[in-house]
Amino acid sequence: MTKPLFNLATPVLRLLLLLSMGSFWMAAESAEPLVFTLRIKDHLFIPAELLVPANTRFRLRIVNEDATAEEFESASLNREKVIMGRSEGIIHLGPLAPGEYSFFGEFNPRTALGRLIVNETDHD
Amino acid sequence: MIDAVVIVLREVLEAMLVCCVLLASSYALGAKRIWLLPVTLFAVGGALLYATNLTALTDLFDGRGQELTNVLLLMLTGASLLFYLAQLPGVITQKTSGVTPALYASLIVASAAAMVRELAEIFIYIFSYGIASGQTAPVVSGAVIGAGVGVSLGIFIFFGLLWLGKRRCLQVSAVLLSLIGAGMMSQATRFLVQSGFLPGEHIVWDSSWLISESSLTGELLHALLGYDATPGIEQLAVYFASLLIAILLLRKLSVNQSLDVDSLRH
Repeated sequence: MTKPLFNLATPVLRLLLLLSMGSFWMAAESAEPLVFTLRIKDHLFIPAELLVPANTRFRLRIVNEDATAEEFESASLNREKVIMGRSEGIIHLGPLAPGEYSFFGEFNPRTALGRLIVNETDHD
Repeated sequence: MIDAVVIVLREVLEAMLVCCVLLASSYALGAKRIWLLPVTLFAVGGALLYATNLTALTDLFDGRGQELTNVLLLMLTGASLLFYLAQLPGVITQKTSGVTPALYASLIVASAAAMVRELAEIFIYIFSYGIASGQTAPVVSGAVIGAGVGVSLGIFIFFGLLWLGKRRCLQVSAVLLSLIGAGMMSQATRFLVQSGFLPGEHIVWDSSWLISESSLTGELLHALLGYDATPGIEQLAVYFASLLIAILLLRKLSVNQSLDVDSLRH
């Protein structure tokens, strides 16, 4: 029984090493992160179209002003996060190629629709 | 109500798949206890705890608490599935009857961690969205239907696997568990990218035009293979690393070795 356990331990250790490398990489990031804010109000995203710069790392702050929970979800951005009622959450994004990335609120999939418009010229 | 059915069904799918494949595999090994029932009750408690504390949890670790909890639960499932697979060849060749405590431990941890994550999202949807917004009737009835469809599908897969016979059931479920486990590890990696722990700069492909992640096919492939329409390079690396470990662990289970699985159960 010991041998398979050992086989399992090595990749787990490697993964931990990779994670610690990741956190060093994170610490090397700029101290002042770029933040864009998206609000949820009456089960809608405001603004429904958010302009963000291309090829830049940024954070998306999602503020839920409703009393009810919502789940921010986007297949093209590869992100999902539950935002409880009257609370907020942060998602790390980018660098994104120019284009449009749609997102939606999972609990209101027909109405809570929005797009991230990634624009090359928006970059300063 | 249709929305509620779909939302709950897609949450149920993944955990259901883990649980029913593990259940079938353990019964093929000769498990005699109804181990999934207490685990489910425990997971309901865990999920309620998770769901009721999510606001505070989200704010932990500089706003990364929710992602890190997901990473923990997904990796716990993925690792205990691998631990289960690691023990399979040994248990079968030793011909000891049934399930060792270590096997039970991996069964319990894998299914509990998978259920806590999915059940918490269902509870949040029902209580913090449905009931909180006054849509109690459509949300609750939709959730019951969605959960019912998911559980029925699970029962169908469970009996389908057992119907294959013990030996085939063990082989097929081992392959399924390897794939599901790799998918869980890939999802954990995605949450590490989402919380900024990994760069996630390179998207390897975009197959959303072919199979959308939110389509039924996409959801099924997601639960079964960890399908992602736009996977990052880290996700793919972790996925295939996990799959490779599973293959290495399972190579003793290959068909050409004459394992007398049928003599397992007295």
